[in-house]
Amino acid sequence: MRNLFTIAAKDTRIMVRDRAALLVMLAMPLGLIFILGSALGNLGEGDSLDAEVAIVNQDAGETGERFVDGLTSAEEIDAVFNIHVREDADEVRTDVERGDLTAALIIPEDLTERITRGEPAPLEVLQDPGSAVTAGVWAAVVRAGVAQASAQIVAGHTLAEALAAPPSAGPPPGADASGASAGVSHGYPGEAQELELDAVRVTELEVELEKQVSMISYYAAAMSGMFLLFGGMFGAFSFVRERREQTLARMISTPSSTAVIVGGKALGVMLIGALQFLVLLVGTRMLFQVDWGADVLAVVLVGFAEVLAAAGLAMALAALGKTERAIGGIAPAFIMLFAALGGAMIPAEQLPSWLLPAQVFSPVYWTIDSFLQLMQGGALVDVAPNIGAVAAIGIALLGFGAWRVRYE
Amino acid sequence: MMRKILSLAWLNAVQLVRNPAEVVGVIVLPLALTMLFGSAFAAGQASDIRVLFVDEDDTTYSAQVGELIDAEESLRIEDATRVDAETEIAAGDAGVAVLVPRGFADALERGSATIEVMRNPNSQNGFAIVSVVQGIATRMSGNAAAARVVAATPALKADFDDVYQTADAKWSPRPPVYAEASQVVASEVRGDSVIAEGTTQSSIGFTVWFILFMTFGSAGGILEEREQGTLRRLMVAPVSRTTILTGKVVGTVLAATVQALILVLVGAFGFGVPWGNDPLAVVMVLGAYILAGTGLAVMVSALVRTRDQMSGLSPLVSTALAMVGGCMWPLEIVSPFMQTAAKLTPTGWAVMGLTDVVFRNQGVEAAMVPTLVLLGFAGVMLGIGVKMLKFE
Repeated sequence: MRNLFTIAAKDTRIMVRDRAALLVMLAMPLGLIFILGSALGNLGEGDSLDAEVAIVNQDAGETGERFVDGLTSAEEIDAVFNIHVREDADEVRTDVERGDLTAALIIPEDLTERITRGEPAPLEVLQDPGSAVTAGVWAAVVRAGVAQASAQIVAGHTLAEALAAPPSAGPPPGADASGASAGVSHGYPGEAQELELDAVRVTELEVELEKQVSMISYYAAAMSGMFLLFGGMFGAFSFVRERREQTLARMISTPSSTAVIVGGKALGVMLIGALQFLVLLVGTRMLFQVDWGADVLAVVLVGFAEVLAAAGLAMALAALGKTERAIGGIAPAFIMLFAALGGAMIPAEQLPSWLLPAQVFSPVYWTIDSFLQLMQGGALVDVAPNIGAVAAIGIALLGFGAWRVRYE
Repeated sequence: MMRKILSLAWLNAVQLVRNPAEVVGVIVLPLALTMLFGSAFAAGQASDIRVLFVDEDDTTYSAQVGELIDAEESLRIEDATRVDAETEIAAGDAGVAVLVPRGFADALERGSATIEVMRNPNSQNGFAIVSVVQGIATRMSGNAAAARVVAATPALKADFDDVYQTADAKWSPRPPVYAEASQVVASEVRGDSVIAEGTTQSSIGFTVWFILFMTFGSAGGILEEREQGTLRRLMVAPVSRTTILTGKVVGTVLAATVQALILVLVGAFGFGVPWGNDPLAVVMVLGAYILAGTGLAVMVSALVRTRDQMSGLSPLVSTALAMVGGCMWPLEIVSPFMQTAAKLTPTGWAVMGLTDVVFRNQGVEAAMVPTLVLLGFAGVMLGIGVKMLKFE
């Protein structure tokens, strides 16, 4: 047992002596958490996209004008879009093509005429393919506006037909479909005579939200889950270097068993990982006010389990790669796949559904899920199964590494 | 001298091929991630947005609310109870729930029905979904308004339900006014073009990101040679320092070019990404970016002491640059501050240039500025790297 601790202490000392590597391992995650929190922090906070869009009204009648007024005077729309009312449709199209405008609405010149004739009237929404998300929101806004117009027209036509028709019969041929004879409006938005379209109202219910995890807290959890695994890569480097420099062979010639050597090396990775986790925990708390939750013991145990997974990964990588260069190739691939599957890059629920069953193999998934639960007020009992899953993955990787690794 | 440079570049290729794991890491991984993220960002194509639907009224009218949400492109309803919906929204597991309370149909006939919406403020899709529900409410209101007037006129002897259905039928197949949304690309001026798929963002992003892995891995070889002493041996041979460095740079550029070519070809033929819109413009941006990535890798090689440090630093630096540069998610969704920050990175300029060229089909003219900026990055970083790199 003493030998095991000696090996672990030696590995830790070597790692700590390499100041540059240590700085990379400790400072980079904090940097990335900051980048992610800043980059994505505004999402969902008021949906403030501030996107540039344009409206071109070519309609010879009055309907187009009312559309423009309706869209430009709504406060909720104004909060999301900077709307420019423009004249030249070709110029606007070119601006959307270039990405200078996110989207545009082109109102055709015969809009009023078509509505009067009772023909369906299309409005054209142009979207920049390079800004699909924001342009999609603009299309939704325009659709809500046209629904209003359509509802007025449908109501007007239905009334006109019913009032013009004899009781319990369909509309007679040639009935005035415009609604004029029924004394109702054409139904353009904002028209003075329009029907009240308030039979169905949409009300928002207040939901008492559970403790919300801010974007920066989410990524603090996510990056911790991912970066602790990178400790495994450095552990594998150390193993391979010792193998190349024959110091591992020397260790084998001592009375220490291979189990002690593997255990000592794994423990070394875990000690460095624990230090890394401590810095992440304290650093994110102090710098970004991340609230990791009240159950500190549970947070530490989740971190410990992930560090165990990192130690297992170190041994598995040392077994798979012959040289540092090979490990430098395989390790990021493994870690990033684990991270992508686990939701460290984009939230896990946005991944395709067929992929979700594979998440159970990612220690990052269980770790992020645990941290998030704890941040939302969960306790050790809630995350115990997750801790078990991460530890099991770590032990499996360690077992594979110990079985396959070569010492010379 | 040229022969020596090419020999050194060839040596680089041999070193690379000897490490199949590295090759797999820089080619297979980005393709796998392109597939994963492509599905996530393919708006409305792969993963529809889940909307919880609570029907407490259980009538034709309440069911119509659900049907109309479900018929909306990119939305998918999932039946739930009020309690479940509250719990899921409160926990952030669902973004939006739509509830049709008991008595909805009767209230509709009276002209005072309500559709309730629960929204988690952190939901990215909340705004769009509420707009859709508002549109549905408007449609039903219009139908009901007409039906109420007719039903209230005794002489017409008409039933509310019948008139409502007659009015609702007028929304099909097309409502009187409708919006046709389409993505526009510069097809008229630039010949054939393909509308970009959801995987395009991912294909561009991961190609840009993983080129850095390749340049870091390849340029880091010089540190390996330094550690193993082979660089010192090379120095005693009649080869100048400039030749050795040029050979290394050429080798790195060639390796990254082959990698980029594979990623682009698989993206184009495997995932339908319109990389071929304007090959010259793509070559300009990617070529300049490969030079910038090589410059960055040489500079970092000069700043670290060992290959281990380089291997450890490479995923971190490239991931940070990928995040800031918009390789993982579209730059349009990040804060204005981060959009500006993207312009300080080579990854950001590569993504912006390729978005113009591949997504928007804007051609060589749009590729000029990003190419020149990337060449500027390449010159500065390569200059610093070459000046600072120690051979012993």
